[in-house]
Amino acid sequence: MANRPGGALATRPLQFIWIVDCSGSMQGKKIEALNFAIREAIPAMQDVARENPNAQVLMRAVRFSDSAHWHVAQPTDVHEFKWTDLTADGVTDMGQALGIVAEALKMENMPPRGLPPVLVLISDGQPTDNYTKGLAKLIAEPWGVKAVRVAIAIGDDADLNVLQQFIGNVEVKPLRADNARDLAKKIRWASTVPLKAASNPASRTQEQGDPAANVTLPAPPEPIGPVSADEVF
Amino acid sequence: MPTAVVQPWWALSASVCGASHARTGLPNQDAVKVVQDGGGLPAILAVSDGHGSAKCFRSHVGSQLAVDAAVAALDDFATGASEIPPEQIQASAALLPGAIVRRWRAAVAEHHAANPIGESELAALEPAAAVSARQALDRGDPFLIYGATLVSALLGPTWLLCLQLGDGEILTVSRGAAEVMQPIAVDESLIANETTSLCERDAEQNFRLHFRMLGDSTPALLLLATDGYPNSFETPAGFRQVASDLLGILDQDGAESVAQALPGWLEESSRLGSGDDVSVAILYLPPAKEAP
Repeated sequence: MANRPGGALATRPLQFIWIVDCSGSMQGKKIEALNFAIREAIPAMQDVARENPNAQVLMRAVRFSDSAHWHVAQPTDVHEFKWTDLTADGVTDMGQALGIVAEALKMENMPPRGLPPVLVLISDGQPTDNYTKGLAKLIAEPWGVKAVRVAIAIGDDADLNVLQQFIGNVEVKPLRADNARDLAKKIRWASTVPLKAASNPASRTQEQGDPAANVTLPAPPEPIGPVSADEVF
Repeated sequence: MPTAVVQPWWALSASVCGASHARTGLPNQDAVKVVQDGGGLPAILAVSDGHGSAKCFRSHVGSQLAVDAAVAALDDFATGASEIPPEQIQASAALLPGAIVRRWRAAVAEHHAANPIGESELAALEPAAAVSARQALDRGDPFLIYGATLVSALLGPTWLLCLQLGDGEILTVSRGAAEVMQPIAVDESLIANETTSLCERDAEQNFRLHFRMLGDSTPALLLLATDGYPNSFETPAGFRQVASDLLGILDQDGAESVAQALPGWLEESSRLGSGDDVSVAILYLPPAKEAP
Protein backbone atom coordinates (compact mmCIF):
# COMPACT_ATOMS: atom_id res chain seq x y z
CA MET A 1 0.00 0.00 0.00
CA ALA A 2 1.12 3.52 -0.77
CA ASN A 3 2.50 5.91 1.80
CA ARG A 4 0.21 8.24 3.74
CA PRO A 5 -0.96 11.13 1.50
CA GLY A 6 0.01 14.73 2.29
CA GLY A 7 3.04 16.62 3.56
CA ALA A 8 4.87 16.53 6.87
CA LEU A 9 2.82 16.15 10.03
CA ALA A 10 3.39 18.33 13.08
CA THR A 11 1.90 18.86 16.50
CA ARG A 12 0.18 22.19 17.20
CA PRO A 13 2.25 25.02 18.68
CA LEU A 14 1.19 26.60 21.96
CA GLN A 15 2.88 29.86 22.93
CA PHE A 16 3.44 30.37 26.66
CA ILE A 17 4.75 33.80 27.73
CA TRP A 18 5.85 34.89 31.20
CA ILE A 19 5.45 38.66 31.74
CA VAL A 20 7.45 39.51 34.85
CA ASP A 21 7.68 42.66 36.98
CA CYS A 22 11.35 43.38 37.72
CA SER A 23 10.88 46.81 39.30
CA GLY A 24 12.88 47.93 42.33
CA SER A 25 10.15 46.85 44.76
CA MET A 26 10.74 43.25 43.65
CA GLN A 27 14.34 43.36 44.96
CA GLY A 28 15.40 40.86 47.60
CA LYS A 29 13.08 38.10 48.74
CA LYS A 30 10.46 38.61 46.03
CA ILE A 31 12.68 38.26 42.98
CA GLU A 32 14.62 35.42 44.62
CA ALA A 33 11.38 33.59 45.34
CA LEU A 34 10.10 34.25 41.81
CA ASN A 35 13.26 32.91 40.17
CA PHE A 36 13.15 29.83 42.38
CA ALA A 37 9.43 29.26 41.74
CA ILE A 38 9.63 29.50 37.96
CA ARG A 39 12.66 27.21 37.85
CA GLU A 40 10.81 24.71 40.04
CA ALA A 41 7.69 24.95 37.86
CA ILE A 42 9.45 23.98 34.64
CA PRO A 43 9.59 20.20 35.30
CA ALA A 44 5.87 20.27 36.10
CA MET A 45 5.23 22.09 32.81
CA GLN A 46 7.29 19.46 31.02
CA ASP A 47 5.11 16.78 32.63
CA VAL A 48 1.97 18.52 31.35
CA ALA A 49 3.48 18.75 27.89
CA ARG A 50 4.33 15.03 27.95
CA GLU A 51 0.70 14.25 28.86
CA ASN A 52 -0.44 15.94 25.66
CA PRO A 53 2.17 15.18 23.01
CA ASN A 54 -0.04 16.77 20.33
CA ALA A 55 0.78 20.25 21.64
CA GLN A 56 4.26 21.74 21.26
CA VAL A 57 4.73 24.15 24.14
CA LEU A 58 6.97 27.08 23.20
CA MET A 59 8.06 29.38 26.02
CA ARG A 60 9.23 32.96 26.15
CA ALA A 61 9.58 35.60 28.85
CA VAL A 62 9.31 39.39 28.99
CA ARG A 63 10.71 41.48 31.86
CA PHE A 64 9.61 45.00 32.69
CA SER A 65 11.05 47.70 34.94
CA ASP A 66 12.57 50.83 33.27
CA SER A 67 11.03 49.94 29.89
CA ALA A 68 10.49 46.30 28.88
CA HIS A 69 12.58 43.68 27.09
CA TRP A 70 12.47 40.05 26.09
CA HIS A 71 14.18 37.99 28.77
CA VAL A 72 13.81 34.91 26.55
CA ALA A 73 13.09 36.16 23.04
CA GLN A 74 13.21 32.89 21.10
CA PRO A 75 10.15 30.62 21.47
CA THR A 76 11.79 27.65 23.15
CA ASP A 77 10.43 24.13 23.48
CA VAL A 78 9.47 23.58 27.11
CA HIS A 79 11.68 20.49 27.25
CA GLU A 80 14.71 22.64 26.41
CA PHE A 81 13.74 25.73 28.37
CA LYS A 82 16.22 26.98 30.99
CA TRP A 83 15.37 29.80 33.37
CA THR A 84 18.01 32.48 33.80
CA ASP A 85 17.58 34.46 37.02
CA LEU A 86 16.06 37.91 36.75
CA THR A 87 17.25 40.89 38.78
CA ALA A 88 15.10 43.78 39.96
CA ASP A 89 15.62 47.52 39.67
CA GLY A 90 13.74 50.55 38.37
CA VAL A 91 10.07 51.41 37.77
CA THR A 92 7.09 49.38 36.53
CA ASP A 93 6.63 49.86 32.78
CA MET A 94 3.98 47.17 32.43
CA GLY A 95 2.33 48.84 29.45
CA GLN A 96 5.50 48.48 27.41
CA ALA A 97 5.67 44.79 28.28
CA LEU A 98 2.09 44.26 27.12
CA GLY A 99 2.96 46.09 23.90
CA ILE A 100 5.87 43.72 23.28
CA VAL A 101 3.61 40.73 23.81
CA ALA A 102 0.99 42.26 21.48
CA GLU A 103 3.62 42.55 18.77
CA ALA A 104 4.58 38.89 19.21
CA LEU A 105 0.93 37.85 18.90
CA LYS A 106 0.23 39.70 15.66
CA MET A 107 -1.44 37.50 13.06
CA GLU A 108 1.62 37.50 10.82
CA ASN A 109 3.83 36.35 13.71
CA MET A 110 1.60 33.49 14.82
CA PRO A 111 1.09 30.04 13.28
CA PRO A 112 -2.53 29.87 12.06
CA ARG A 113 -2.98 26.36 13.45
CA GLY A 114 -1.74 27.31 16.91
CA LEU A 115 -3.51 26.52 20.15
CA PRO A 116 -4.64 29.42 22.37
CA PRO A 117 -1.58 31.18 23.84
CA VAL A 118 -1.11 31.34 27.60
CA LEU A 119 0.05 34.64 29.14
CA VAL A 120 1.06 34.82 32.81
CA LEU A 121 1.56 38.32 34.25
CA ILE A 122 3.32 38.62 37.62
CA SER A 123 3.54 41.98 39.41
CA ASP A 124 3.90 43.49 42.88
CA GLY A 125 2.97 47.08 42.18
CA GLN A 126 1.33 49.88 40.23
CA PRO A 127 2.21 50.42 36.58
CA THR A 128 4.26 53.58 36.10
CA ASP A 129 3.62 53.92 32.38
CA ASN A 130 0.45 54.01 30.29
CA TYR A 131 -0.54 50.40 30.85
CA THR A 132 -3.97 50.92 29.26
CA LYS A 133 -2.28 51.66 25.93
CA GLY A 134 -0.30 48.41 26.10
CA LEU A 135 -3.35 46.45 27.18
CA ALA A 136 -5.39 47.96 24.33
CA LYS A 137 -2.71 46.84 21.86
CA LEU A 138 -2.82 43.33 23.29
CA ILE A 139 -6.61 43.07 23.19
CA ALA A 140 -6.69 44.46 19.66
CA GLU A 141 -4.82 41.40 18.45
CA PRO A 142 -7.06 38.38 17.71
CA TRP A 143 -4.53 36.05 19.32
CA GLY A 144 -4.28 38.42 22.31
CA VAL A 145 -7.99 38.45 22.98
CA LYS A 146 -8.17 34.65 22.57
CA ALA A 147 -5.19 34.03 24.84
CA VAL A 148 -5.66 32.46 28.26
CA ARG A 149 -4.56 35.31 30.54
CA VAL A 150 -3.63 34.67 34.16
CA ALA A 151 -2.12 37.11 36.70
CA ILE A 152 -0.33 36.75 40.02
CA ALA A 153 -0.24 39.62 42.54
CA ILE A 154 2.77 39.57 44.83
CA GLY A 155 2.29 41.23 48.22
CA ASP A 156 -0.29 43.83 49.27
CA ASP A 157 0.78 46.64 46.98
CA ALA A 158 -0.03 44.95 43.67
CA ASP A 159 -2.77 46.70 41.72
CA LEU A 160 -5.49 44.05 41.59
CA ASN A 161 -7.68 46.24 39.38
CA VAL A 162 -4.97 46.41 36.71
CA LEU A 163 -4.35 42.67 36.89
CA GLN A 164 -8.09 42.00 36.60
CA GLN A 165 -8.23 44.16 33.48
CA PHE A 166 -5.37 42.14 32.04
CA ILE A 167 -7.24 38.87 32.71
CA GLY A 168 -10.33 40.28 31.02
CA ASN A 169 -12.72 37.74 32.54
CA VAL A 170 -14.58 38.51 35.77
CA GLU A 171 -14.85 34.79 36.50
CA VAL A 172 -11.05 34.52 36.83
CA LYS A 173 -9.47 36.54 39.64
CA PRO A 174 -5.79 37.42 40.09
CA LEU A 175 -3.94 34.88 42.20
CA ARG A 176 -2.41 36.40 45.33
CA ALA A 177 0.85 35.45 47.01
CA ASP A 178 2.38 37.15 50.03
CA ASN A 179 5.18 34.72 50.84
CA ALA A 180 7.67 32.56 48.99
CA ARG A 181 5.89 29.25 49.48
CA ASP A 182 2.59 30.71 48.34
CA LEU A 183 4.26 32.27 45.31
CA ALA A 184 5.75 28.91 44.35
CA LYS A 185 2.33 27.29 44.66
CA LYS A 186 0.61 29.96 42.55
CA ILE A 187 3.31 29.98 39.89
CA ARG A 188 3.12 26.22 39.64
CA TRP A 189 -0.68 26.42 39.19
CA ALA A 190 -0.47 29.29 36.68
CA SER A 191 2.15 27.51 34.64
CA THR A 192 0.49 24.11 34.46
CA VAL A 193 -3.31 24.32 34.78
CA PRO A 194 -3.91 26.93 32.02
CA LEU A 195 -1.35 25.09 29.89
CA LYS A 196 -3.27 21.85 30.21
CA ALA A 197 -6.59 23.58 29.47
CA ALA A 198 -5.26 25.44 26.42
CA SER A 199 -3.65 22.34 24.91
CA ASN A 200 -7.01 20.56 24.62
CA PRO A 201 -8.15 20.48 20.99
CA ALA A 202 -11.86 20.99 21.82
CA SER A 203 -13.52 23.69 19.72
CA ARG A 204 -15.33 26.62 21.29
CA THR A 205 -18.04 28.98 20.21
CA GLN A 206 -17.85 32.60 21.27
CA GLU A 207 -21.36 33.42 22.49
CA GLN A 208 -21.42 36.79 24.16
CA GLY A 209 -21.68 36.72 27.93
CA ASP A 210 -20.95 33.02 28.15
CA PRO A 211 -18.79 32.37 31.25
CA ALA A 212 -17.31 29.28 29.60
CA ALA A 213 -16.70 30.89 26.24
CA ASN A 214 -12.97 31.13 26.78
CA VAL A 215 -10.80 28.23 27.88
CA THR A 216 -12.26 27.17 31.21
CA LEU A 217 -9.98 26.96 34.22
CA PRO A 218 -10.65 25.03 37.40
CA ALA A 219 -10.66 26.81 40.76
CA PRO A 220 -7.26 28.20 41.78
CA PRO A 221 -5.34 26.73 44.72
CA GLU A 222 -6.03 27.81 48.28
CA PRO A 223 -3.39 30.00 49.97
CA ILE A 224 -0.70 28.37 52.08
CA GLY A 225 -1.70 28.19 55.73
CA PRO A 226 -0.39 30.60 58.39
CA VAL A 227 3.21 31.71 57.89
CA SER A 228 5.59 33.48 60.21
CA ALA A 229 5.92 37.26 59.96
CA ASP A 230 9.43 37.08 58.56
CA GLU A 231 8.22 34.93 55.66
CA VAL A 232 5.77 37.59 54.47
CA PHE A 233 7.01 39.78 51.60
CA MET B 1 -10.66 5.07 -33.05
CA PRO B 2 -11.07 3.81 -29.45
CA THR B 3 -13.94 5.16 -27.38
CA ALA B 4 -13.38 6.42 -23.81
CA VAL B 5 -15.79 4.88 -21.33
CA VAL B 6 -16.56 7.03 -18.28
CA GLN B 7 -16.11 5.10 -15.06
CA PRO B 8 -18.48 5.22 -12.09
CA TRP B 9 -17.85 7.62 -9.21
CA TRP B 10 -16.66 6.22 -5.89
CA ALA B 11 -17.56 7.64 -2.51
CA LEU B 12 -15.26 6.90 0.45
CA SER B 13 -15.35 8.06 4.02
CA ALA B 14 -13.66 7.46 7.35
CA SER B 15 -13.79 8.96 10.82
CA VAL B 16 -11.30 8.19 13.58
CA CYS B 17 -11.17 9.08 17.25
CA GLY B 18 -8.43 11.62 17.94
CA ALA B 19 -5.27 10.58 19.75
CA SER B 20 -6.03 13.16 22.44
CA HIS B 21 -9.56 11.83 22.90
CA ALA B 22 -8.26 8.27 23.10
CA ARG B 23 -5.90 9.32 25.92
CA THR B 24 -8.69 10.99 27.90
CA GLY B 25 -11.42 8.43 27.21
CA LEU B 26 -13.60 10.78 25.15
CA PRO B 27 -15.58 9.41 22.21
CA ASN B 28 -15.11 10.43 18.60
CA GLN B 29 -17.20 13.60 18.32
CA ASP B 30 -17.03 13.84 14.51
CA ALA B 31 -19.55 12.42 12.08
CA VAL B 32 -19.44 11.72 8.35
CA LYS B 33 -22.08 10.75 5.79
CA VAL B 34 -21.97 10.19 2.04
CA VAL B 35 -24.83 9.41 -0.33
CA GLN B 36 -24.03 8.27 -3.83
CA ASP B 37 -26.01 5.65 -5.68
CA GLY B 38 -24.88 3.44 -8.49
CA GLY B 39 -21.73 5.34 -9.32
CA GLY B 40 -23.59 8.31 -10.75
CA LEU B 41 -24.37 11.87 -9.78
CA PRO B 42 -25.67 13.67 -7.82
CA ALA B 43 -23.52 12.74 -4.85
CA ILE B 44 -23.72 14.27 -1.39
CA LEU B 45 -20.95 14.43 1.21
CA ALA B 46 -20.98 15.86 4.74
CA VAL B 47 -18.62 15.93 7.72
CA SER B 48 -19.24 17.52 11.08
CA ASP B 49 -17.08 18.21 14.13
CA GLY B 50 -18.83 18.17 17.49
CA HIS B 51 -17.16 20.85 19.59
CA GLY B 52 -16.15 18.51 22.38
CA SER B 53 -15.82 21.21 25.03
CA ALA B 54 -17.28 20.46 28.44
CA LYS B 55 -20.38 22.61 27.90
CA CYS B 56 -21.11 20.84 24.56
CA PHE B 57 -21.27 17.43 26.18
CA ARG B 58 -23.67 16.00 23.58
CA SER B 59 -21.77 17.31 20.57
CA HIS B 60 -21.08 13.75 19.37
CA VAL B 61 -24.86 13.49 18.89
CA GLY B 62 -25.03 17.01 17.44
CA SER B 63 -22.47 16.18 14.75
CA GLN B 64 -24.41 13.08 13.67
CA LEU B 65 -27.62 15.12 13.52
CA ALA B 66 -25.72 17.75 11.50
CA VAL B 67 -24.63 15.37 8.73
CA ASP B 68 -28.11 13.83 8.68
CA ALA B 69 -29.70 17.28 8.34
CA ALA B 70 -27.30 18.38 5.62
CA VAL B 71 -27.68 15.20 3.57
CA ALA B 72 -31.47 15.34 3.82
CA ALA B 73 -31.62 19.01 2.82
CA LEU B 74 -29.15 18.55 -0.04
CA ASP B 75 -30.98 15.45 -1.24
CA ASP B 76 -34.23 17.43 -1.41
CA PHE B 77 -32.39 20.21 -3.19
CA ALA B 78 -30.85 17.83 -5.73
CA THR B 79 -34.28 16.38 -6.49
CA GLY B 80 -35.76 19.83 -7.03
CA ALA B 81 -32.73 21.15 -8.91
CA SER B 82 -33.44 18.90 -11.89
CA GLU B 83 -36.45 21.11 -12.60
CA ILE B 84 -34.66 24.44 -12.14
CA PRO B 85 -32.81 26.19 -14.97
CA PRO B 86 -29.05 26.04 -14.22
CA GLU B 87 -28.81 29.83 -13.94
CA GLN B 88 -31.33 29.79 -11.09
CA ILE B 89 -29.73 27.02 -9.06
CA GLN B 90 -27.34 29.31 -7.22
CA ALA B 91 -30.13 31.60 -6.08
CA SER B 92 -32.12 28.61 -4.86
CA ALA B 93 -29.06 27.28 -3.02
CA ALA B 94 -28.98 30.44 -0.90
CA LEU B 95 -32.00 29.05 0.95
CA LEU B 96 -30.14 25.89 1.99
CA PRO B 97 -28.41 27.23 5.15
CA GLY B 98 -31.80 28.09 6.63
CA ALA B 99 -33.18 24.71 5.67
CA ILE B 100 -30.23 22.86 7.20
CA VAL B 101 -30.30 24.87 10.42
CA ARG B 102 -34.05 24.30 10.82
CA ARG B 103 -33.65 20.56 10.27
CA TRP B 104 -30.77 20.36 12.74
CA ARG B 105 -32.57 22.34 15.43
CA ALA B 106 -35.70 20.21 15.02
CA ALA B 107 -33.61 17.04 15.31
CA VAL B 108 -31.81 18.37 18.40
CA ALA B 109 -35.10 19.39 20.02
CA GLU B 110 -36.48 15.93 19.33
CA HIS B 111 -33.40 14.19 20.73
CA HIS B 112 -33.42 16.42 23.80
CA ALA B 113 -37.13 15.79 24.40
CA ALA B 114 -36.58 12.04 24.17
CA ASN B 115 -33.40 12.18 26.28
CA PRO B 116 -33.77 14.98 28.87
CA ILE B 117 -30.55 16.16 30.44
CA GLY B 118 -30.31 14.81 33.95
CA GLU B 119 -28.91 16.53 37.00
CA SER B 120 -26.15 13.95 37.15
CA GLU B 121 -24.97 14.95 33.65
CA LEU B 122 -24.72 18.60 34.71
CA ALA B 123 -23.11 17.78 38.04
CA ALA B 124 -20.30 15.97 36.25
CA LEU B 125 -19.28 19.10 34.34
CA GLU B 126 -16.65 21.70 35.18
CA PRO B 127 -18.38 24.51 37.16
CA ALA B 128 -18.22 27.12 34.37
CA ALA B 129 -19.46 24.63 31.79
CA ALA B 130 -22.31 23.61 34.07
CA VAL B 131 -23.30 27.28 34.45
CA SER B 132 -23.33 27.69 30.64
CA ALA B 133 -25.39 24.55 30.15
CA ARG B 134 -27.88 25.46 32.88
CA GLN B 135 -28.29 28.97 31.49
CA ALA B 136 -28.90 27.56 28.01
CA LEU B 137 -31.48 25.09 29.28
CA ASP B 138 -33.21 27.75 31.41
CA ARG B 139 -33.80 29.85 28.30
CA GLY B 140 -35.16 26.81 26.45
CA ASP B 141 -32.04 26.48 24.29
CA PRO B 142 -30.56 22.97 24.35
CA PHE B 143 -28.62 23.63 21.13
CA LEU B 144 -25.37 24.75 22.78
CA ILE B 145 -25.02 21.31 24.35
CA TYR B 146 -25.11 19.68 20.90
CA GLY B 147 -22.86 22.26 19.17
CA ALA B 148 -21.21 21.16 15.93
CA THR B 149 -19.77 22.48 12.67
CA LEU B 150 -20.77 21.40 9.17
CA VAL B 151 -18.89 20.95 5.90
CA SER B 152 -21.01 19.64 3.03
CA ALA B 153 -21.03 19.36 -0.75
CA LEU B 154 -23.40 18.35 -3.50
CA LEU B 155 -21.90 17.43 -6.85
CA GLY B 156 -24.51 17.53 -9.59
CA PRO B 157 -24.01 16.45 -13.21
CA THR B 158 -23.04 19.98 -14.29
CA TRP B 159 -22.40 21.95 -11.09
CA LEU B 160 -20.76 21.87 -7.67
CA LEU B 161 -22.31 23.29 -4.52
CA CYS B 162 -20.40 23.54 -1.23
CA LEU B 163 -21.75 24.75 2.11
CA GLN B 164 -19.69 25.28 5.24
CA LEU B 165 -20.31 26.51 8.76
CA GLY B 166 -17.29 26.72 11.05
CA ASP B 167 -13.88 25.14 10.65
CA GLY B 168 -12.92 22.27 8.36
CA GLU B 169 -11.80 22.32 4.73
CA ILE B 170 -12.85 21.31 1.22
CA LEU B 171 -10.34 20.42 -1.51
CA THR B 172 -10.85 19.59 -5.16
CA VAL B 173 -8.39 18.48 -7.80
CA SER B 174 -8.97 17.95 -11.48
CA ARG B 175 -7.18 15.33 -13.49
CA GLY B 176 -4.16 16.81 -15.21
CA ALA B 177 -4.33 20.03 -13.18
CA ALA B 178 -1.34 20.75 -10.99
CA GLU B 179 -3.22 22.92 -8.54
CA VAL B 180 -5.43 21.76 -5.71
CA MET B 181 -8.40 24.11 -5.30
CA GLN B 182 -10.18 25.22 -2.14
CA PRO B 183 -13.73 26.18 -3.16
CA ILE B 184 -14.30 27.86 0.22
CA ALA B 185 -11.33 29.81 1.53
CA VAL B 186 -10.14 29.22 5.08
CA ASP B 187 -11.80 31.69 7.44
CA GLU B 188 -8.81 33.38 9.07
CA SER B 189 -10.92 34.65 11.95
CA LEU B 190 -11.35 31.08 13.19
CA ILE B 191 -8.18 30.73 15.25
CA ALA B 192 -7.27 29.26 18.63
CA ASN B 193 -9.94 26.54 18.39
CA GLU B 194 -12.79 29.02 18.05
CA THR B 195 -15.44 28.27 15.46
CA THR B 196 -18.85 29.30 14.28
CA SER B 197 -21.46 26.66 14.94
CA LEU B 198 -24.91 25.30 14.25
CA CYS B 199 -25.75 26.01 17.90
CA GLU B 200 -25.37 29.77 17.55
CA ARG B 201 -28.27 32.14 17.02
CA ASP B 202 -26.74 33.50 13.82
CA ALA B 203 -25.81 30.10 12.40
CA GLU B 204 -27.70 30.63 9.15
CA GLN B 205 -25.89 33.92 8.47
CA ASN B 206 -22.48 32.38 9.17
CA PHE B 207 -22.71 29.72 6.46
CA ARG B 208 -20.31 30.15 3.56
CA LEU B 209 -21.45 28.94 0.16
CA HIS B 210 -19.69 28.11 -3.10
CA PHE B 211 -21.49 27.34 -6.34
CA ARG B 212 -19.99 26.89 -9.76
CA MET B 213 -20.95 25.44 -13.12
CA LEU B 214 -18.36 22.80 -13.95
CA GLY B 215 -17.91 23.11 -17.70
CA ASP B 216 -14.67 21.27 -18.47
CA SER B 217 -13.42 21.48 -14.89
CA THR B 218 -15.21 18.54 -13.27
CA PRO B 219 -13.03 17.53 -10.33
CA ALA B 220 -11.68 14.02 -10.31
CA LEU B 221 -11.49 14.21 -6.53
CA LEU B 222 -13.51 16.12 -3.96
CA LEU B 223 -12.43 15.89 -0.32
CA LEU B 224 -14.15 17.24 2.78
CA ALA B 225 -12.37 17.17 6.14
CA THR B 226 -12.96 18.21 9.73
CA ASP B 227 -10.31 20.57 11.12
CA GLY B 228 -8.44 17.81 12.92
CA TYR B 229 -7.02 16.80 9.54
CA PRO B 230 -5.59 20.13 8.24
CA ASN B 231 -4.44 20.99 11.77
CA SER B 232 -2.26 17.88 11.69
CA PHE B 233 -0.02 19.18 8.91
CA GLU B 234 3.00 21.41 9.38
CA THR B 235 1.84 23.74 6.59
CA PRO B 236 -1.39 24.44 4.66
CA ALA B 237 0.42 23.26 1.51
CA GLY B 238 1.14 19.95 3.23
CA PHE B 239 -2.57 19.46 3.76
CA ARG B 240 -3.51 20.46 0.21
CA GLN B 241 -1.01 17.87 -0.98
CA VAL B 242 -3.36 15.24 0.47
CA ALA B 243 -5.76 15.78 -2.42
CA SER B 244 -3.21 15.44 -5.21
CA ASP B 245 -1.49 12.50 -3.49
CA LEU B 246 -4.81 10.75 -2.95
CA LEU B 247 -5.80 11.12 -6.57
CA GLY B 248 -2.53 9.50 -7.63
CA ILE B 249 -2.90 6.67 -5.10
CA LEU B 250 -6.53 6.08 -6.09
CA ASP B 251 -5.60 5.94 -9.77
CA GLN B 252 -2.80 3.50 -9.04
CA ASP B 253 -4.23 1.26 -6.31
CA GLY B 254 -7.97 1.67 -6.70
CA ALA B 255 -10.71 2.90 -4.40
CA GLU B 256 -11.20 -0.34 -2.48
CA SER B 257 -7.55 -0.43 -1.48
CA VAL B 258 -7.62 3.22 -0.38
CA ALA B 259 -10.84 2.67 1.59
CA GLN B 260 -9.00 0.02 3.59
CA ALA B 261 -5.95 2.18 4.22
CA LEU B 262 -7.81 5.42 4.96
CA PRO B 263 -8.57 4.92 8.70
CA GLY B 264 -4.92 4.08 9.37
CA TRP B 265 -3.72 7.19 7.56
CA LEU B 266 -6.12 9.35 9.55
CA GLU B 267 -5.10 7.75 12.85
CA GLU B 268 -1.43 8.39 12.05
CA SER B 269 -2.21 11.99 11.16
CA SER B 270 -4.02 12.58 14.44
CA ARG B 271 -1.35 10.80 16.50
CA LEU B 272 1.57 12.71 15.01
CA GLY B 273 -0.40 15.90 14.42
CA SER B 274 -3.33 17.64 16.04
CA GLY B 275 -4.53 14.84 18.33
CA ASP B 276 -8.07 15.80 17.32
CA ASP B 277 -10.76 13.59 15.79
CA VAL B 278 -10.29 13.34 12.02
CA SER B 279 -13.01 12.69 9.45
CA VAL B 280 -13.02 12.79 5.67
CA ALA B 281 -15.53 12.25 2.91
CA ILE B 282 -14.14 11.69 -0.58
CA LEU B 283 -15.70 11.52 -4.02
CA TYR B 284 -13.49 10.08 -6.73
CA LEU B 285 -13.87 9.65 -10.48
CA PRO B 286 -11.46 7.06 -11.95
CA PRO B 287 -9.89 7.86 -15.30
CA ALA B 288 -11.94 6.93 -18.34
CA LYS B 289 -11.02 3.60 -19.90
CA GLU B 290 -10.78 2.77 -23.55
CA ALA B 291 -13.56 0.56 -24.77
CA PRO B 292 -12.34 -2.85 -25.93
